[in-house]
Amino acid sequence: MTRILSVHSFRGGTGKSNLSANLAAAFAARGLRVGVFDTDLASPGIHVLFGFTAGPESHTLNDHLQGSIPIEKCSHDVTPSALGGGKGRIYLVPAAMDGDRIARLLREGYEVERLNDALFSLGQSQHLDLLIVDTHPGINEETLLSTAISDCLVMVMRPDQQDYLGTAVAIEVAQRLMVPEARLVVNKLPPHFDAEQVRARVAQSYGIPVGAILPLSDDLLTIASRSLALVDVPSHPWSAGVTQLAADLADALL
Amino acid sequence: MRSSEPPETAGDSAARPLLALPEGPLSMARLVALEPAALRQLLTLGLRAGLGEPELDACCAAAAPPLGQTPEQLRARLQERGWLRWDPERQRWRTRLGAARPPAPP
Repeated sequence: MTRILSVHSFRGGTGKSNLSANLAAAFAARGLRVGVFDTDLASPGIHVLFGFTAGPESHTLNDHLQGSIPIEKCSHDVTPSALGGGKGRIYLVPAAMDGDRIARLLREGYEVERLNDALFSLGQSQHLDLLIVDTHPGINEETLLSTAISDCLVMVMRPDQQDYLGTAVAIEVAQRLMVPEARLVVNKLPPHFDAEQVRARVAQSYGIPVGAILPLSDDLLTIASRSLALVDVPSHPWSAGVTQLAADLADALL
Repeated sequence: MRSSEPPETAGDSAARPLLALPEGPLSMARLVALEPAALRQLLTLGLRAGLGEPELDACCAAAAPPLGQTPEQLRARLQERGWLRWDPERQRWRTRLGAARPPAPP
């Protein structure tokens, strides 16, 4: 049965999509079949990290949620060539990128129920081991749903006070929805912060396991928005942290 | 009996007021706010893989007393509201969001 992993943050700019995409690559490198849903429909972006560009015939999640296109036709194999030799695959369900489609979705909305059915349907039809849901930040109907159906919630936060407070709210909601597993990831930790102190502080504050403390890095800023760090610079501490997190999650979920 | 009416059985509720099952379609915002926890668990499990008959029976048995209902009454209320529906394809009971009316019986 496909396991669902939601990557969520209370506020934007935490590096959630970047983490989702690189986690997918780490799982695929372990030989797993991974689906990635971009449910950040108001501000999609994860496709860029996989180098995916929607052509005129390419379907997106919007075509399923607001139309009649089967979800299977909205998924695209984006497995990086560096991982292509193994058994692992990555199937991306991107969100529509053009302004008209985004505006239509925001104007008309969609049945959240269709998103739920789509996740389970794709997992089954593509024989996926894992499905990663890259969510919209904050709390709304879609993010509550993806939290509720998750086998594991990965909460991403930066080490700043607003993130500390908002993350507490999101974790409380996840606990009410009885999510079986949860991990906290502190991303973009400035070099002058003591990683172990931060780890101890967040572990004590939230009472859920800390999955990773990932550094803020100037090197990554040059590649982070256009490709996968795990593929381009696998030995970088950030990539190594994500690889370790993927190993931990695979052990917990599979 | 409607959820807004007094419960038929008091049980051990003398010291605690009984909870009410809200009317209207189910949304995620409503689900998060639901009490008791056992009812949230029932509906959350229904959103995930769905529930087989024994699981549904067990969940209803846990969730019904704080609502002042029998497990059978609770199950019927959830179906009446369209919150819970039999999925013939998966052969499981599944939670349905946004459903105000129950579907036609299979």
